[in-house]
Amino acid sequence: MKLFINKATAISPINSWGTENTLLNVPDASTGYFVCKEPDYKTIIDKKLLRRMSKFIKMSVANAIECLAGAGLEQPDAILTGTALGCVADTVDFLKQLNENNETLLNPTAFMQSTHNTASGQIALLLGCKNFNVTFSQKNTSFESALLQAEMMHPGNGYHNILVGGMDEITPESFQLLSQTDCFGKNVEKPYLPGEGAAFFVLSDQKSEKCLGKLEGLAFYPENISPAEIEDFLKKNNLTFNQIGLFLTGAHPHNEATMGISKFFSRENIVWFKEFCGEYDTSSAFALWLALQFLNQKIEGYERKTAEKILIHNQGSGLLHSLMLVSSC
Amino acid sequence: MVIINQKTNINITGFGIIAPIGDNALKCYKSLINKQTGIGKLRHLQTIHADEFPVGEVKHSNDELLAIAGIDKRQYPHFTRASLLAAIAVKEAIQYAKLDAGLLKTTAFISATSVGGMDKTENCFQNEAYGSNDFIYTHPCGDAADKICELYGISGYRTTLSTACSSAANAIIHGALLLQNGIVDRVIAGGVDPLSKFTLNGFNSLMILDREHCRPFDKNRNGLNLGEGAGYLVLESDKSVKMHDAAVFGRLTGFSNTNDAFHQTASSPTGEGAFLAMSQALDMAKLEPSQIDYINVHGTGTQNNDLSEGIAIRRVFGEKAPPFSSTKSLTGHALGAAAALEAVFSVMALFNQKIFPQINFTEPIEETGLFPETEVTEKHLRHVLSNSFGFGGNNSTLIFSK
Repeated sequence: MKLFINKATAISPINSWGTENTLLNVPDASTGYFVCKEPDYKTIIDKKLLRRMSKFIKMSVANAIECLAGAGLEQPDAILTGTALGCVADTVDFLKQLNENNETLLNPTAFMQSTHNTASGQIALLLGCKNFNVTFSQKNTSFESALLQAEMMHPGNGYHNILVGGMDEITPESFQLLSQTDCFGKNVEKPYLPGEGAAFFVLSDQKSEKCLGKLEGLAFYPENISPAEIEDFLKKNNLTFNQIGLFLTGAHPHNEATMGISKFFSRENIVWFKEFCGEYDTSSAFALWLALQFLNQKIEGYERKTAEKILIHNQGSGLLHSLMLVSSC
Repeated sequence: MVIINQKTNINITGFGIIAPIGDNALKCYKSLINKQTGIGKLRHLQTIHADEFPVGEVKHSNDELLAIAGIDKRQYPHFTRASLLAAIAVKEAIQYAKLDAGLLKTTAFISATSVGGMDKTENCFQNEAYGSNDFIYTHPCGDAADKICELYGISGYRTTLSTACSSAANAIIHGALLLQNGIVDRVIAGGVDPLSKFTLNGFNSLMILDREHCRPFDKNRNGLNLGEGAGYLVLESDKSVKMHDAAVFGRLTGFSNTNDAFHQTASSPTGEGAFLAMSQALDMAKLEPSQIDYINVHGTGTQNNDLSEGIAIRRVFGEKAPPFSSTKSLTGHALGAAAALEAVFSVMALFNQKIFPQINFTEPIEETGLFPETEVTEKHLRHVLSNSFGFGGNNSTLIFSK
């Protein structure tokens, strides 16, 4: 597997949008959860369209526009997205209407925008892009499924540049609901705060001048992941633990099950990436964006600044764990 | 665009289904050839619209579905209707393909849904009487896939596609790509959707539900009837078929996914996305339009879909459109599961060399002049094409061959 990442953009709780370098610090969370620092969408998306768009759609569409522009593409050969919970705001809106109006006189807008593929459909509509377009929704491996789809399409003719995104939004209602469960890892000491974000990538079969990195490996593991499995994954890529400059993990430092993995990496080589984006199921897309920032020495305010090979591990509400291997171009 | 690095045929070695017209493949087949509709008055979904809109409901309560699936509620207390329907269809598919525990371990599971656990969510959301937040765990689209993998000991890769009403077609495409790329040798792929107040009221708010039984491709059609169900295919590589001497019911020889890029929920007047989807699937299967023997159309019964799809059919097939029918006239529109139910029907049509009829048709749409099949027809079928379209402009076409 080798996919060149020729452009990446992210809207996240840290300053990830519109700046070359990223100051990596823990964002403010006065609301009890991390919210995205959103750009001024009026400068990116047509005002008439903006009015009806939820945060989820705005984040996705803005990322898609910037990502394609940065890669010098008018249209991608495919649009692939992953989201665990989809259009939460519109779904909650329609559910509330159902309850409050007792199934009568409902406004269809929220329903129309509630399907998980709304964002990828809106991107296609905006670009007039008639190419392959799907959305995956498998909890914490939704984004990784989209990456796998990209990997499987590249060998075929015609698929040179694929737009892949991972996104989830949090709203006051969804925060309140999720807080009543152990979705945020209540069983661990100091769980991560809930978060949200959207990150998009242009994956290509050819390296561009602006290439940010290569996605060299992707794998899925049921239930849990063992050090032996990681070793095997690295071996398939002709690597050993000590060649991995940084290990970005979505596991929790206090979670016993994942302690086994983290001890193979020295403390300063581990980045607990959910400290910066919060806990949400497509945070692996943020992690991939962050890994590219590290690869290209664009991280400030963080002791370990660069690496040539980065391993990303994620886990979340689903039963699969994932690994991604990225390296310098 | 065509994917050319085909390392293997995509062999269909099993299928399973539960639909408003039957709890398994044989019962569905009998209903299809006897024109027995599954559409009628709602019995299980609690809604104020029960008397207003006919629907295709699977004729069992959730407790009855538990019994059919053979699931012990004490052991698995958190199965939503979606998970139960999927469990029943997957069980049948596994039986047809004769997959034992060892084979299941190395099988990938690819599901699809539009609303997943919504039926539970909508009852518990803002309703303190239920006093439980279980729905938060069962709400995500990916919940049923995790549950099914746990239930049947499928321990490999699994994922869920959610592209509204074309979801299951895209799950089958993702599964086929896994085989063609040699990532796995065996895939169970399909989809499930339960009836819910959310979708019933959603389609009602769009004013596209028919208060009568739906009339796909009829001049006087007036909307769709919602349906529900689950359908799954077992797809195997040539290597896997040989390994356990599996029976092959048919092959997936063409597939495509295009976008209409016209409107969030409506189809274009030129049927552009549908035209591209059918054309690209034909290219991939290396077939001329004249080689398609039967089309299982998307045919929802809405003004918009049937006109747009009909125009696209004329654009692809010209004056000689192949025989076609909308089985949604018998099942209703099962949204994210629709393409899976219709994939199972397409494979059964091929295997039994029969074109399934549709009901409620009187007069053709003037602009297209297309007449669906209204009687069971025995025909030498080599290639069957199935269309599925959805919100977000998604258009997917699958071609099944003998």
